[in-house]
Amino acid sequence: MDKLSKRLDSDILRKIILKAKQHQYYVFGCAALLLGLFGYFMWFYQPLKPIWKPIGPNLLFALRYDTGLKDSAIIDQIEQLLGEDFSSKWEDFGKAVLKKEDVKPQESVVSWHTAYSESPQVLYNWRFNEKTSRDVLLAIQNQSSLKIRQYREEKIYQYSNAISDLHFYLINRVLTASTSPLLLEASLRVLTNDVENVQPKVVKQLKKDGIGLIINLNAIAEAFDALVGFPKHANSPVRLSALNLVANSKKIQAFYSENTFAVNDKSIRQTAFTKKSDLLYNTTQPLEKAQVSKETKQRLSLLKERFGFDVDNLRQGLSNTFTHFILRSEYVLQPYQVLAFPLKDSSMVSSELARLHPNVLPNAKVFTLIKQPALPNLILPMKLDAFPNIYYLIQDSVLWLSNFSLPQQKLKALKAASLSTKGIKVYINHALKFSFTDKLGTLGERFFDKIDGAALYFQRDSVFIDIDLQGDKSVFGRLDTLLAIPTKRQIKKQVFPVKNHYTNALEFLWQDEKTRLHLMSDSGEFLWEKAVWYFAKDRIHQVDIYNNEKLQYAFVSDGRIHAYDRLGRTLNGFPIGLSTYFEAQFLRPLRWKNEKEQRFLVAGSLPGNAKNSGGKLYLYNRYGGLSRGWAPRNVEAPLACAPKLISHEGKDVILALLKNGSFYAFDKNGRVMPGFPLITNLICSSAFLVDRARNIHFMSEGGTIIELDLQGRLLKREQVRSRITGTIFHLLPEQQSGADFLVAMQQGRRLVVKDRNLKAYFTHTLTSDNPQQLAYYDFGEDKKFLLVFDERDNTCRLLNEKGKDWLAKPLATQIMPLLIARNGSRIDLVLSKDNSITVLSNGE
Amino acid sequence: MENNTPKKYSKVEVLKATVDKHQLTFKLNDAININAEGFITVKMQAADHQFIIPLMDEFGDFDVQKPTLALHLVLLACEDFEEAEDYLIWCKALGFNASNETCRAAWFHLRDEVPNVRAFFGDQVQAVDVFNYQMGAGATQLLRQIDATQ
Repeated sequence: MDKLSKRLDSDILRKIILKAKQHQYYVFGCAALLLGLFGYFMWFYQPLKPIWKPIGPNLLFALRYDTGLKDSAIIDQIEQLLGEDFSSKWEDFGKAVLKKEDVKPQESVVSWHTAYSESPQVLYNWRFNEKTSRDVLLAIQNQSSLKIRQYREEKIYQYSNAISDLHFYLINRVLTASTSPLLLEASLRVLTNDVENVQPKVVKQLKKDGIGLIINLNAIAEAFDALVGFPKHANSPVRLSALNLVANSKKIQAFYSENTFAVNDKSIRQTAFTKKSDLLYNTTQPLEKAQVSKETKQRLSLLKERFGFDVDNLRQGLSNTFTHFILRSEYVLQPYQVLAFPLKDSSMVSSELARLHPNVLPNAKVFTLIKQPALPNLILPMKLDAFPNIYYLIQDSVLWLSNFSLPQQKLKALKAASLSTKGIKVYINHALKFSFTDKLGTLGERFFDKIDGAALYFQRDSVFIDIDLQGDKSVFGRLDTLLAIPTKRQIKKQVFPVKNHYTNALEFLWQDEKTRLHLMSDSGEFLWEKAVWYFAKDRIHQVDIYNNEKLQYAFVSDGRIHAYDRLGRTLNGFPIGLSTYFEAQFLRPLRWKNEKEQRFLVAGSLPGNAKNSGGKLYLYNRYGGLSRGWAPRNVEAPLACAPKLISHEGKDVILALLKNGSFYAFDKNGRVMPGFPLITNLICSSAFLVDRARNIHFMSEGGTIIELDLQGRLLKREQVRSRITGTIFHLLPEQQSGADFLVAMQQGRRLVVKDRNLKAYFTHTLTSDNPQQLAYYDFGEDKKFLLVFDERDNTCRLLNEKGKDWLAKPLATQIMPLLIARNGSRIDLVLSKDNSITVLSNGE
Repeated sequence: MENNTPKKYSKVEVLKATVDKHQLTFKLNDAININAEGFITVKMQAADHQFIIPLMDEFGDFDVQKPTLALHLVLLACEDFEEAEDYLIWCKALGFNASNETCRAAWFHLRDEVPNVRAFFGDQVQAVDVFNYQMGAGATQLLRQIDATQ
């Protein structure tokens, strides 16, 4: 039978092949048609390419929608709530700029950013198909009224009318436009630099007829973290980076990136929202053992002694998860906070609690008020202090704890929402009036300049965004990330601002931990890196070695003076080898008055034990030889800081402070000038400064301030009084001019700052008693800052002239940050964290 | 026949004549006291002038009974000061610690006093050559004897 069937099969196959051979054209035609149809379907339903990348933490939220969306009720509602007609913006643009009304984008992304302005700025992204994009480009190129400028090798067009300017560019079939040129440039940087502060993974592909709402929850997550009463996952802190909401007429879905939303339960990644308008927030998380403080331990033992209450028994009766609900409450001042503990052993929990509260019965119907003890704090791993009173109820093997007597219908609603449901109801801010309004208000101000309240509701098929932009201006300064550029290696010590001698633009130069020198432009482009093999001992200077108004970079390493030109090439004759029996510490490039030759004053110490080692000063010319007229000078102690060159009464004077407190002034031949040295016998290790009256100030480690004039006369010797031993004293020269200074004392966590006359300026409480590095910046009225860098904690803070934190929270940085004043009132902060260089700006 | 009369050393004679002329007397003084071996401060009293000079008497030659030798020491201190380009070199030449406040005071004192000494005695009065003095040769021997012999 088998043989027969096989023969039949082969016969049939043979017949088919024969037939196909007879009708081969038809067969090929059909196959081609099928292939074509398949290709068309593939093309038609091809996934839409991501067209937009969020601009880091500045993003408030973004709305992404298909322009051909039939049901635009949601967009209408959002427009109504925002008071901004963003969906018709394209039509206006088409009419005004392109002079075309029929061209339409396929997809739009409208994003609101908080940077660069006090009110949110809008960035529009319109994506076209290939043909439309050609038409748009042609229309733009034919417009002679548009101004064009280059940025990052891309053309930025500017359209101006009587009311405002609109800036835009067209890249990869996407036209991006904004009224804010800074925001537009930032978007271009993000596109070209591939900088991803918010991971692109979370920007999910939008389906046709869909609406995507992308909310930056970094700020909100921190608000949540900071709020007392919001539980955290003990093992993996909730770090919401971005929430991507995709809504259509049926449902709204939320997507988190696995990387950014680190929770134990991965089912939270994709959860349909429950539609309970009262439920603001709920989460289920593992119940871990509470950290019991000493006081609590004492209290527990007292409870055990008096009442026989054993919290360990109680814990054994609880299952290993609990759910935390926050509900909208009719009480203006506080929301309902409800904790639900499923019980393993209901009777054990009941009997244990009955020892304390005999009036609470199992399966009671109403919540009972108890005052002692603060049960949530005994059971939970975190402290909840939003529970002044506790109501509890044991019902259906669940222990309910609430801060109010929860009405029956609310309890029913909660029960209906299964305890196993893991969902998050998102709200952005504090439009809802409840207990932590104040806290949220403060936090809100930190994150949003002008947003007094913002909330996101989901009801039926609609999304409601409720934003109030009428708030007061923040008391905190805002620094938004302008650039965050990964570096291959960690930055060593600090970043030096340098000048581009062609454009006068600012650039950043630094050395990494492998001694490589890096130059980066102000806009974040790496210009070069150069292996130099030696670490700079002192700062990196800019010098004009060839006297042709072109600047080079020079620094001293252990045994060499190095110089590199603007392109990173080693200069002829460099590195200059230094004397062998000499440990270079400081370099001061100098040029005598009315002389063209660049010289290098190198200060260092002679090897030997610390007690006997003296200091030495060499002056080299640019050819590597010792400069004529200057015999290497020995001084009795190493220098405390880099020497300085000043001009006094038409003469060049080199000033040097030694570690033993002696102050020297040398003439250009290296001779000690009349009147010097001034010997103070103090231990000095910080820099001195020369004020506008040409008086010299320095401070000893013990807090003695010395003032002398250029004749070597002692003008003032004053001890800064401190009642606490171990006080760290700082003399803080103003970083811009170096002519003024403040005096600071760190006494543990207390930072006392005084002015130059030792009158109290302000007192600030630090977060730790680690020795802090301080820098004082004066950028003018209301722009005086004290930069506080904690090297151990790798954090920095900015204090204003009242000693208040200018930033809402400390910034993470591994190096002493650099503060730069730009035109107007803009201030940039350059720092380094996680192997990246970050430039933050207040964008003013 | 051997000539037993001592050789004439004009510098020593000038010194001796100057002592006689100005009736110079010398005393030890503790106005400036550097804790260094051989360092002394000498008060030189003339008829109507007095000078206080810190100096190095490394051979312990100073003696109030030997004013010519004392004058030589004073003038040697002036030379040391004048030859040193600056404070650091002076300290190094004399083996002082530059961070010693008293050394600085001595230097500053010499800076004021040396021009006065020079103005008082004029250019003709000079110390015996340092080399000879250190070797104890030639004029030094006469210098050490000249006050004793008279």
